[in-house]
Amino acid sequence: MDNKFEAVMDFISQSGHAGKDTYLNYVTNETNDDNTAVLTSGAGKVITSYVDGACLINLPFEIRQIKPHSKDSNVYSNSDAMEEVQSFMDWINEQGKARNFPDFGEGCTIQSMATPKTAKTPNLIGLTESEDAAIYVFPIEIIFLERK
Amino acid sequence: MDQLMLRYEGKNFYEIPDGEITRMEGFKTLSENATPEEYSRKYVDRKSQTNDVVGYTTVLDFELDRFVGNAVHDDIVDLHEKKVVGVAARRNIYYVDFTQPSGDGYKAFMVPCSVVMSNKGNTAEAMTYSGSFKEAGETVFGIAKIATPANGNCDTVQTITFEESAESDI
Repeated sequence: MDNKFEAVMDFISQSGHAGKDTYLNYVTNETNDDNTAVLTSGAGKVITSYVDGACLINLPFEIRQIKPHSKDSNVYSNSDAMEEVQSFMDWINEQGKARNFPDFGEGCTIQSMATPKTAKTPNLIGLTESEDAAIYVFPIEIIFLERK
Repeated sequence: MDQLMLRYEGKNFYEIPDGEITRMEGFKTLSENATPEEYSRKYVDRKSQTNDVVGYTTVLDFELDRFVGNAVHDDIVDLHEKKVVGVAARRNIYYVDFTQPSGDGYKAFMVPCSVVMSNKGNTAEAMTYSGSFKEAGETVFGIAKIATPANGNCDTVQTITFEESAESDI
């Protein structure tokens, strides 16, 4: 598949962790939509150029998930939600280690897919307007070889 | 107008034993250094010295980022890990000039080289290997044709075939 963004979306939506719908570069704050947003976070950067003209490119993404949020004390639903997002993060890293990658097409070979070394747990960045759902986010980086 | 030749328009290929002549990918450095051997003498009837070049030794220094599943890297890493020596550590290295078409191929040459490994793991990010390909035989000139992919070009080429041709000196 030559469209890298479509390939990542397909990969995420078929993960079993993404919920009902997967969006690219759009975030809905509807709690009951049970969805995942794949956001491009900055331009893909060339990290190494090789003598044969090929480049190693780092393509960063951000994954956002909306999970139910409780204001009650002594309940574990928020921690369960956090754990669900964490398990999604772990799944991404497991796929990277198993070298099970999205298909970037003939001219590209993915070399690694993982959350950055500095991101070990998801980050809660806020609540939805209705305050009954929380927005969790974690970054992923896909490093691929693009031939020239 | 004179056009600058870019580095990627001259590509190197590696002949994998019992395998194909495969594009060398993931090489951050692959520079060719030619060390001349000279014959210098002073004749009694002349004021100045006379010099002739009587030979060259070609060395290609390289540094690569290890790509898992890359057949060229697999072979080079194997030579490094097993500390292979002698004739068993010789490989044919090809250079194809994609700015010089010739027939349905491109002008090219092949140099038999000893793979001399020197360093592994020099960075904290990617696994790197470095060393030198040192000339171990006569250079053979010829024509390289793109074998894969079908209808491939300078950008997409993966493997080549090579045929010796006296007329293709580049």
